Amino acid sequence: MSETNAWKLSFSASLRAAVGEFQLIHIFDQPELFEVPCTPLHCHQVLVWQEDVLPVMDIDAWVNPYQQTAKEPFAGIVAFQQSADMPVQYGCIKLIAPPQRIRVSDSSACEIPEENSFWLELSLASFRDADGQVLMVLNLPKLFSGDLASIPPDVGSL
Amino acid sequence: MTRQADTLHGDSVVQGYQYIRVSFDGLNMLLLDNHSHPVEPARALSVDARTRYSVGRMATDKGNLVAYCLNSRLQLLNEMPLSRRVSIILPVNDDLIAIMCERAERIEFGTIPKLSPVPECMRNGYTPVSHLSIHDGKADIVVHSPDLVDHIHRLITDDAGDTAVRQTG
Repeated sequence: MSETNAWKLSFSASLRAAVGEFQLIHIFDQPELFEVPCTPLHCHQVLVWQEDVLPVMDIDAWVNPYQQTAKEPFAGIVAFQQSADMPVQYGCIKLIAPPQRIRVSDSSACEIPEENSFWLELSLASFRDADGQVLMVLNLPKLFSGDLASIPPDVGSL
Repeated sequence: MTRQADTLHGDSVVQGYQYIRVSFDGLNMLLLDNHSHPVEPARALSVDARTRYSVGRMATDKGNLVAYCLNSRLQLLNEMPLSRRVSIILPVNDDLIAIMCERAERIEFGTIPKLSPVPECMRNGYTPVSHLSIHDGKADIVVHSPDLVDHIHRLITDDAGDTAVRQTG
């Protein structure tokens, strides 16, 4: 049985997911974000990082577009590739708490619960953490591909 | 109008443009055009002439120009915040309009900024914003000035009610 490290990310009090250990590369506490007009509600800000302008993804706003949430104090920079031969890209995700390092084993893999079907579009796999909570493994290339604007989340299923 | 930036892919440095950085309502916008546009103090604004879409008319040596005010979401205001103290004059067909701003500064060619395309995940249909840029550690939106004029025209013709903000802010 193999085990690996991962990061548990919290997007709201009830909305969490995981990314691989080496996909999360930097955390900001109360970063300065800049508004970009004429953009979707779930991705309307950018963060300046290392001479680059990164999109800031608000997963809670995508899942709950009609609920105004408090300003998230944290932001995590993630790295991903659209495919193996493509350059590494970076994006930023809003968080409500610092990421939590977790261990994931093969035996913890599970099906994506039907009530969380909106995650199907955004996740590569799912597993149960030590608390028994089902966590999705975020599909970062998909998250930052631009597809999200055309995928309505199943808000009623939450 | 042929625009050099349209032919570029990925990060780009656009040569041959005039750059004016304008600020309003917390938004920093790098306006670019292959023509220079005047920046004038926002004086002699006749608010009696304001309409649903404009904040009045501004007397300049180029005539009595319709003055527009945008908020950070690029929606039109019909009341001008007191902080708008300068204007940039842009051509519309054979006419001119004034866009009221808090600050406007010309950026010299020695400091042409790197322009990055708006990320795919931030695109949601139409937008006048073509690129993003960094200036003094802050992110600017980059807009070709003809596209800003088109955007205002679009707001007015698309309206009525949804896109025009009736109150300042």
